[in-house]
Amino acid sequence: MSKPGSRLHRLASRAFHPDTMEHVIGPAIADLEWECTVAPSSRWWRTWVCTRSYLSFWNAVVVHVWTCLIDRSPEAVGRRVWFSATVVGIFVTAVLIAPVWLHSLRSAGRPQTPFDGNIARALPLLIPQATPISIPAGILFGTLWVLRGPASRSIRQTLLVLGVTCSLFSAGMLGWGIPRANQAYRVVVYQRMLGNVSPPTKGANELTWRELRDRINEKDTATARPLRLSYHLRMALVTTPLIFAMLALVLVRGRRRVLSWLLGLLLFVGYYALIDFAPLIEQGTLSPIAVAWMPNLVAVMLLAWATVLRGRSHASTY
Amino acid sequence: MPPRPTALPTLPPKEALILQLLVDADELYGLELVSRSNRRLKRGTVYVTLGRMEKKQLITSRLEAPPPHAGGMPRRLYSPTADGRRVLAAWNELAKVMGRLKPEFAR
Repeated sequence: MSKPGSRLHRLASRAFHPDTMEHVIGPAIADLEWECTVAPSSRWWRTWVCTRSYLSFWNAVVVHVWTCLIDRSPEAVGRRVWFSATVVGIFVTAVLIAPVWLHSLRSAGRPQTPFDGNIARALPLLIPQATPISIPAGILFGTLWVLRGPASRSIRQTLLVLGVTCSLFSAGMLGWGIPRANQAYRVVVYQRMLGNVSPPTKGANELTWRELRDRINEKDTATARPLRLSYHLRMALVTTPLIFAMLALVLVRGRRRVLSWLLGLLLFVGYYALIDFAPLIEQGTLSPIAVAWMPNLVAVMLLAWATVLRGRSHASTY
Repeated sequence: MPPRPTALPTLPPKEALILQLLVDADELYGLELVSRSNRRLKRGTVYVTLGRMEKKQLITSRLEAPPPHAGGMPRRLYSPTADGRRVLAAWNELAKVMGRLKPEFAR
């Protein structure tokens, strides 16, 4: 008969580094085996001791994995920024898609359960729609979560790489991922849930970069106006992750953490309020390009202002 | 041979407690450390902390001789290094000095 921990040991040795096996997993399994061996002969007492040992072993594994992920050493700051940005991004995505999903359940007009096949198919299609908000949120609040005080050169480089990578990813999502996911979601909702046979026609949000450009060229200036706004709004949103990475760098310098978070929240909400109001402002005399790029312009002006202020405070200290 | 640390080693409360228990007993198992700590150390976190302390060269470990009656895994015994003892002594001394430096109104 094999020892209680021998199977665990074999399993863990496939997943963990030999050093981890030697110093964390191995001792935990040795404790488990020892406790099960010396446990009293009473059946219930023995079961209790062994269960407690197994729980302690898994607790040690979880703590070790978590410690590795949030390594507090200065060399691991860049990795922590990426990790926290991902966690915040996933959280914001979940928060954003939940109401839309629930709304689609209600509007489907017939009782559906969350385990219904159609809903399960529609849920992943909502994820790309959340990325224009969740990615910048991840960068801004993930950075504020991890960093405090002036950022070192390597952190600035990490944030720059993070911002550029996320901007490139956003370009792909805004140009191809979101339009296709939007259309697929509409097909699922219209055809499968409402029983409508004809596929819904594509709106501005369901057109890829090229389709949108072609549609703009086909139409006259007045009719193409909302399409042009959508096109430039997407272009502006591509740069959002980079802008928020730069804003995060400025905000982490603040001495009061709560104030930095509040300012970050204010800037974030303000930015997306401007994006949301863009179609309303567009009714006026402003050109779609100016309306679409206005939030970015405001953010860059704020960044420049903060940089000038920082320069002045540096000058005054010498 | 691993490089010697150049910066002053930090000693969080849990590590100080482990070092103190090991200095008092000279050599202990992980579970013994947990039971002697009056619930201040948890079974789930003790090996992660011990592993970190070994990397800092504050403690060292060895595997016990395999138990003769069964073919189970040998348990690991931990003991403080000379560096660990010195760091703990310095830390305790520092704590005493900081205690003496309390302002009049705080005494």
